[in-house]
Amino acid sequence: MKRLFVVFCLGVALALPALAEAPDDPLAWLGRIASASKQLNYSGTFIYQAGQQLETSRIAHLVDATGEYERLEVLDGSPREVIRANGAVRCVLPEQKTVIIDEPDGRRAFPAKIPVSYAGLAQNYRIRKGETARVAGYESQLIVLDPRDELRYGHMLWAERQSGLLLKARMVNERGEIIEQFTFSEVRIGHVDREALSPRYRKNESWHLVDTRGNAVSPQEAGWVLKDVLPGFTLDAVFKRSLGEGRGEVVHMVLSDGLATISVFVEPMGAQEPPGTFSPARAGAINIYKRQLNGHLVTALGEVPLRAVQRVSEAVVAAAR
Amino acid sequence: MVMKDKLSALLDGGLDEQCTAAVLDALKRDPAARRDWDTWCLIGDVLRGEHSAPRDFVSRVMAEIEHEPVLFAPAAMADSRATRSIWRSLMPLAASLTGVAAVGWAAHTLSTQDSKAGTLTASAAVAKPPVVASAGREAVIESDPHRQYVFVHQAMSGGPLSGAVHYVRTVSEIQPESGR
Repeated sequence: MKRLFVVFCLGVALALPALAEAPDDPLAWLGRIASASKQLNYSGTFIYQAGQQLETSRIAHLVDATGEYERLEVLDGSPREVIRANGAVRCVLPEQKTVIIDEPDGRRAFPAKIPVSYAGLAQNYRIRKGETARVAGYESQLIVLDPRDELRYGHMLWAERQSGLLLKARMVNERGEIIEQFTFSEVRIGHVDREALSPRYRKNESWHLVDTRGNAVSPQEAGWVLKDVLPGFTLDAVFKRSLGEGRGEVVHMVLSDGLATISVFVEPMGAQEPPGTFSPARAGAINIYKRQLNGHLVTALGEVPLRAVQRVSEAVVAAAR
Repeated sequence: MVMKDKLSALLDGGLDEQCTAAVLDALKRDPAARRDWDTWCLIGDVLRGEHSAPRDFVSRVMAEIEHEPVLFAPAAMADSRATRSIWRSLMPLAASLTGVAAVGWAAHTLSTQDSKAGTLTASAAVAKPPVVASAGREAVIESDPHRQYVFVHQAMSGGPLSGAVHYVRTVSEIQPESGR
């Protein structure tokens, strides 16, 4: 009997990894997706679609004892690349001779604040498993996040069944229309050549450097508040960035519902800046809404419907002193 | 031409054969000139990504700044759009110019402490009277005004896409559908 118990335990132990590879719980799948993209070595080609437009990019991701490295190169149109080395990200735009740098690590994760945000996600989205499907030659599991209101988009995520690597991600509006989609057309999971991570472009003195790093401050130091917080969203962080000598600072507020993020920028307008009206704009899946407020320009943007960024923008008021 | 100007001209390849030989000879004899030369070459290498910065790099760069006049962009260049853009102010307006602007940019880029770098740059700004650059040499960037916003937003965003994939939106040429 004792031997049988040992065999049973051994069987359970052996079965656990398999269960871990393909969990039934859709929330567990979200955790797998999050960790797989950070821990796996992979390289491949993916297609980015926004509206009716498409772009093809190549990506290589490597993790070793020294850290996490990634290189993305856009293959269509003008050459562009993104280099990530641990905490540092550089977007290189050779034709504009511009490099944009940031250090986002530690500030973003999916889902935000794992695992605390699982409960929050379920409050804002109905999360369920969908069908299995082949993507880029791999069997994948579909996870669907249906929004519970009209302030956020729906998400469909296809993850490779064995590793959890996200192979396809689709963002849809309330009519089910595709807002944005990423799809691997081919991907190799496992070995990645270091050569694939080498930057193709080298900047020199004539290039422009845009440093987007800011200083985190408390909400009380922002000088601006949101009179109505958007349902399901919380204020996650506030940053300040200098505008330069004598020109004040821009305040950047970050709101999140655990999946979607909205950024609000408040910056002083120049004295000679004429009052104007602003039309809503869209960059891919990102909606942008601007307005003037007490000599300041308020810009709200995020991967959410226009009504959401508009509500956030219009909720900004100066803090009582 | 003082020694520093000659070194600068040598770096730019602007000296004839005779002057080059004289400057190289001076470099052999003058340790101070050799230190300047080494520092400038190092800055160039680091900017081109051909050399990793040593530990004392920022302090050496800041020492150079202390001894150079500060270059201000002409006030006339600040059109209304430029004054509104925070990011333009972060860009090295004079990065296309040689000398102190490039040095300042290097210091800002390589410093791991933003506030410290800003303080140092500010202190350097009062060390020497400013020199006004000609408008014709200014570097103007006419890019998508939303791009920098989108980049910063992506850095904060918690969507399902991993690391660099996220930034494909930033570098995408898929154009905004409407605007001001």
